[in-house]
Amino acid sequence: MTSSPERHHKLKPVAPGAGKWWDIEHIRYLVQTGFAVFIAVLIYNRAVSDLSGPSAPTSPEAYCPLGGFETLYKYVTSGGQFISHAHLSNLVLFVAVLVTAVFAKSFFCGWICPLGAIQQAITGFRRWVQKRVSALGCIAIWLGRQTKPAAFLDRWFRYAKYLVLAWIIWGTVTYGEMVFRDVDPWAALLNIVESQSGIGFWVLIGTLVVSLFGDRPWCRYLCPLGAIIGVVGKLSFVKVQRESSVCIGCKWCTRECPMDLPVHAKSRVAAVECNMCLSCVDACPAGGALELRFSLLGTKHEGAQPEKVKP
Amino acid sequence: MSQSPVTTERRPHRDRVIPTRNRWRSLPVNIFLFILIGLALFLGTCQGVQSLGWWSTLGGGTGSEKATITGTNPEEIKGWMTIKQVIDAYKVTPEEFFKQFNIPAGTSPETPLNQLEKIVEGFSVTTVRDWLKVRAAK
Repeated sequence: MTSSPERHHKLKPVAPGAGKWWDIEHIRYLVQTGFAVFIAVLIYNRAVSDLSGPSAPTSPEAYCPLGGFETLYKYVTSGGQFISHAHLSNLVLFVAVLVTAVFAKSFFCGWICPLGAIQQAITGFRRWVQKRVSALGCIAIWLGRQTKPAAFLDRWFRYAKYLVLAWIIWGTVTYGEMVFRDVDPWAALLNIVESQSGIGFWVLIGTLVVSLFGDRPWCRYLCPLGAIIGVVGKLSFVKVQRESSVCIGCKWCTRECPMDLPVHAKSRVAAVECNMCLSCVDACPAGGALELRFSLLGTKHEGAQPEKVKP
Repeated sequence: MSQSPVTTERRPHRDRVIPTRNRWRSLPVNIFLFILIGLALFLGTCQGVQSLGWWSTLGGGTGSEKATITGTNPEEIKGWMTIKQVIDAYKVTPEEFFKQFNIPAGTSPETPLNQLEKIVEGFSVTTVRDWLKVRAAK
């Protein structure tokens, strides 16, 4: 049996359990749907209830971890007070996100965040349509080729989320308000029934439209919570690891990565953008080439360089 | 022509791995266990904190105390409180309050503050709190 690289490129990714309900992708969809439904119920309850009086139903914004980050400065400096629109639940959720990130990196982004799930669903819909309408598939390939010269911008735009984060820190410290709330697409979605004309609403629409052309644009370029989680996630000992001795170089891992990370060229996927969706592990046709591993102290990070195989 | 079975071939290479430095110094993590731990950490932290009574979705405080308006500390003002509740508690005349925040005449004093945020440009619960603090200091 030949094992030429050309042959390997034709391999269809078949991971253990693929196609069955316990397939990683299916479990992820199930988990994401559960959290999205929870938020949808909160939005619905809010929409059909009388909002005046202390018995008004919980605002969905009370379940936003970023609100916890935004109120953190005031909470610490004023001895337990919150900025407007923030609640104790926001703070608790933010801490829960950090605790999760210390062990599981950006697990929250890949498995829990409903905004990420919505973007992912739109991208999935686009792929579904492209598969069935060949003309659209051809247009997508043509567009991809035309925009290839601008691909380097992607790398630089990824730093924009740190600028957003810096702006939030500056705003909350200076003004003691949620300066980001007005442009936050997640806040706009949570308040979709009450307000549909703010900047945040249009940012949300823009995010959803751009999701038709690229995977998770908000997460990739602008999400301040993703920036925090990515940095904290550096502490995690759990990483996707590639074994070059069994890797067949098919690049399915890189193709499947929603964040467009060059997984096939890494010995360990340590990028802050990795949202631990495990699509790469799921797609890998070579058993043992890509694995989730708990690194012990002293593990060397070899970046994009191919690993030196020890005999 | 039938499709080649190679296209769906699974290649069990795990036993053929040549150990590298990274592999020696790391342990495999079962994916399903990883998912369970990830969810347990997130939900467990929230649940654990809630069981300690440290949870509220109704504004400041731990939720154990009921939000009331006493007129002594502007931080107690919540978005669901009405204009009337605030001006009664802090001894402010409706005219002064409406003028201060450019609230359109004819707005009902029973309007909750969080509704005013959508009607009046620049209005927020924070600005009301700050103004009442300055006013009390005079």
